[in-house]
Amino acid sequence: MSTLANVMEISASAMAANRFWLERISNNLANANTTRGPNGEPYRREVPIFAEVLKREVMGEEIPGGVEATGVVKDQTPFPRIYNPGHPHADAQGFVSMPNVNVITEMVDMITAARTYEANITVSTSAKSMMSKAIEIGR
Amino acid sequence: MISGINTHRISAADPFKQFDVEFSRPSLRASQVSPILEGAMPLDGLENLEASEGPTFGEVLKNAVQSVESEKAKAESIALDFATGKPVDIHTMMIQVAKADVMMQVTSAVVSKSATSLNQLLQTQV
Repeated sequence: MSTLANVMEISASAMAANRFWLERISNNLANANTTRGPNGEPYRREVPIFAEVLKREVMGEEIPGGVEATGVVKDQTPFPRIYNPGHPHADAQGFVSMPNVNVITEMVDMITAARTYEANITVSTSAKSMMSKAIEIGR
Repeated sequence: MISGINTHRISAADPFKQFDVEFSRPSLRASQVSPILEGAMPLDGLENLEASEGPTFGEVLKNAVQSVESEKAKAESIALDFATGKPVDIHTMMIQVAKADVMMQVTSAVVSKSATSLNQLLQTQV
């Protein structure tokens, strides 16, 4: 198929990557107050890692492959400590380690992910309308 | 008889088999046209028409339909996965559907163009 279809594939890969990002953001927000995870530590913020997909060479022409979410890293910033002696997870001094999730940062990231997703839908839509316009040649 | 496209004979199973038969029939080859023209005027290059080995109308249509068929099948299977609750991204489905839609439009444009040119060819005054 034509290379305009490849544009749609690239947009699709970006949409999948942004879906992945939104998934992580939703997990971060859901665990914004989780003081104990399966490893006994408070929840650590998860950040997705994006990588460009290796370009394919088709008939001597380099075709971009889009983007791919290759994994997740744990945010290594220290946990904020809050004085709350009544909390079951409080240490000997009465401090509780809270997750290093900043709700405001997550909201900003969420807007970025949603807007990027939208932008890629726009690209895909224009690729489709370009194909439709091409059909009209000679009509 | 040089017939056009017999639409009432197109079967649902392979709607383009008919085209293949009708279009590939060498009814309008130079060998049959030239005896009439010989007396009137010699046409250079007309005999080369027979030698040209391009795809027939039927082959062109068949290829176009087959590529649409595969895109449509992909779209259908993704839509089915989505409907049956498998984890399918909506954008994957919609993009595949959009692709199948465009391919369908391309094919219908090619089919109508081919049919128009064939009809024009059949209306040639000899």
